[in-house]
Amino acid sequence: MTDAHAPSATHDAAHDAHAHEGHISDKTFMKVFGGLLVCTAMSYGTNRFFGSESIIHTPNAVVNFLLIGMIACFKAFLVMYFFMHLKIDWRKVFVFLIPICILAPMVIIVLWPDIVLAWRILPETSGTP
Amino acid sequence: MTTATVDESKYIQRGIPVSNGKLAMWLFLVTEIMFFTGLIGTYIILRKSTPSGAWPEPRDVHLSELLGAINTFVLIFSSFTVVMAHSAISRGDSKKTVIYIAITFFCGVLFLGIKAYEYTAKFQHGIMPGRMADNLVDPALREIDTTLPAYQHFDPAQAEAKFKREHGERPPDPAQATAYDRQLESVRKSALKFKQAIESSGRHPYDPNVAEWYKRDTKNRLVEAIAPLLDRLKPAEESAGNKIKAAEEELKKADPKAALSRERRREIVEKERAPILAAASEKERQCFELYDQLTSTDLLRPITALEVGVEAKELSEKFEDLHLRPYIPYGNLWSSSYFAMTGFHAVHVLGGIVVFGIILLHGLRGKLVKNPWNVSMLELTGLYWHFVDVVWIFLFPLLYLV
Repeated sequence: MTDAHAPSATHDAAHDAHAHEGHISDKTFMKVFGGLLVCTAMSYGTNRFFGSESIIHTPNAVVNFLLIGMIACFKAFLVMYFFMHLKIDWRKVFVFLIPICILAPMVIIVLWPDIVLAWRILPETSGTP
Repeated sequence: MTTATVDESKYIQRGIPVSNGKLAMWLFLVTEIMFFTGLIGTYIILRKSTPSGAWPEPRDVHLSELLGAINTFVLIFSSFTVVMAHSAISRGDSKKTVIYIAITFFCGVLFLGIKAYEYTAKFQHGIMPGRMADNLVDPALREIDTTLPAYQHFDPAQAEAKFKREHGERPPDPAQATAYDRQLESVRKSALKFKQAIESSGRHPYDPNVAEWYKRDTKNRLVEAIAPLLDRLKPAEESAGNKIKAAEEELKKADPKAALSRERRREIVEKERAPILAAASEKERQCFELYDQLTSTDLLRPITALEVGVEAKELSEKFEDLHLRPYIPYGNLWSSSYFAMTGFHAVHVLGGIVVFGIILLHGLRGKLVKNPWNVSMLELTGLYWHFVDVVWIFLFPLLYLV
């Protein structure tokens, strides 16, 4: 008779295989895949319109960055929510992901003032630091 | 009827309600996210710390947006096939599982193949960390009169005037006018970028050894590119040398201290070269012009490394098969960031390919049947692969687009 207290390799493996509170269908995966392709095309197209080599001569670095950044974040959301099953597992794993969502931007925020905003005296051009 | 005691351990849920494998994988992915955050965050910080417009653009560093987009499609497709493989094995369809895993495996290999091709193009143009000549601005340059013809590259107004001298005024035809405007804008932006690089060059220490090394390296690359032309020019050079010697001897008869002037020497040499250069292709002629400036001793002043870099950049843009090492301001910062980010990403892709290769072998041997172990293995490997995809989703726009 097996010991009910002893950890079982198959128990752990079975835990997630059967513990589907929700289920994501193949059709949903195909729709998400299509959405990702559309978003990739949109990023490429946005860069052609607002990038430095704009085909309609309206380069705008800020608009380009914001639009492409938003599209990239949306694509990452689609992959994480559907492909990585966060739609089902979010309540189980959010405790890992929330701290890094705070720490990751902090790396950039902490270094920004010292390196990006540092005063630089440019000879001949700038009179103000 | 006997009754067993209640086994409470079955009902008490300790810790987070995920399997050990999934917990371990998510913890690992979180550490990997911080790892890539360090790399990507550093890239963002370094890029924003440079003067506006000075950071190398994709075409400066031979980055193809199309190849990046293809790689993005390949990884997204492979992510899709992984979830389909997981779905197939959950249904017990081993055959489809193996097919999807095989597609994922080959997508990974294709991604690395495209990456290898991109890296080769970079290496051929000398775009490597620490090997790019991006500190060619001699501090003494700032004191030199920038209205000299040689410095028209560095002033947008002069660059525009030079362009108009070479291409004439804006054509009336709309289609030609669009192309004209685009080229003029490109020339203005390029000049502005160099001007900003010169003005901010105080942060990049100038090393005369690097400048000399760069000139020698460019000369060697030019020799490789125009070797047939140089062979054809040898007789003309010899003939010019003989004529100069004869002319000098003639002069010395009248005055032993007399010497042939620099202009006269140039005139003799150019006359001998003219018919051979006229028959050469435009690429050979322009490359030879730069080679001559690097090697001739009859110029008013030696060409500076910065001028060589600017000329090399123009030639590289005009003739794509020419493997020169152009001057790219902040090129070393860019290439260090690029190779660090994409290199580590490629290593992660390679790791995923190895695991998928092992799973594929299991599948081909018929061992990929539906059981909790295999389903969980595919899910966890898929989690890793999706993470690699998410990293590329951010790398692609940061490096290739914005």
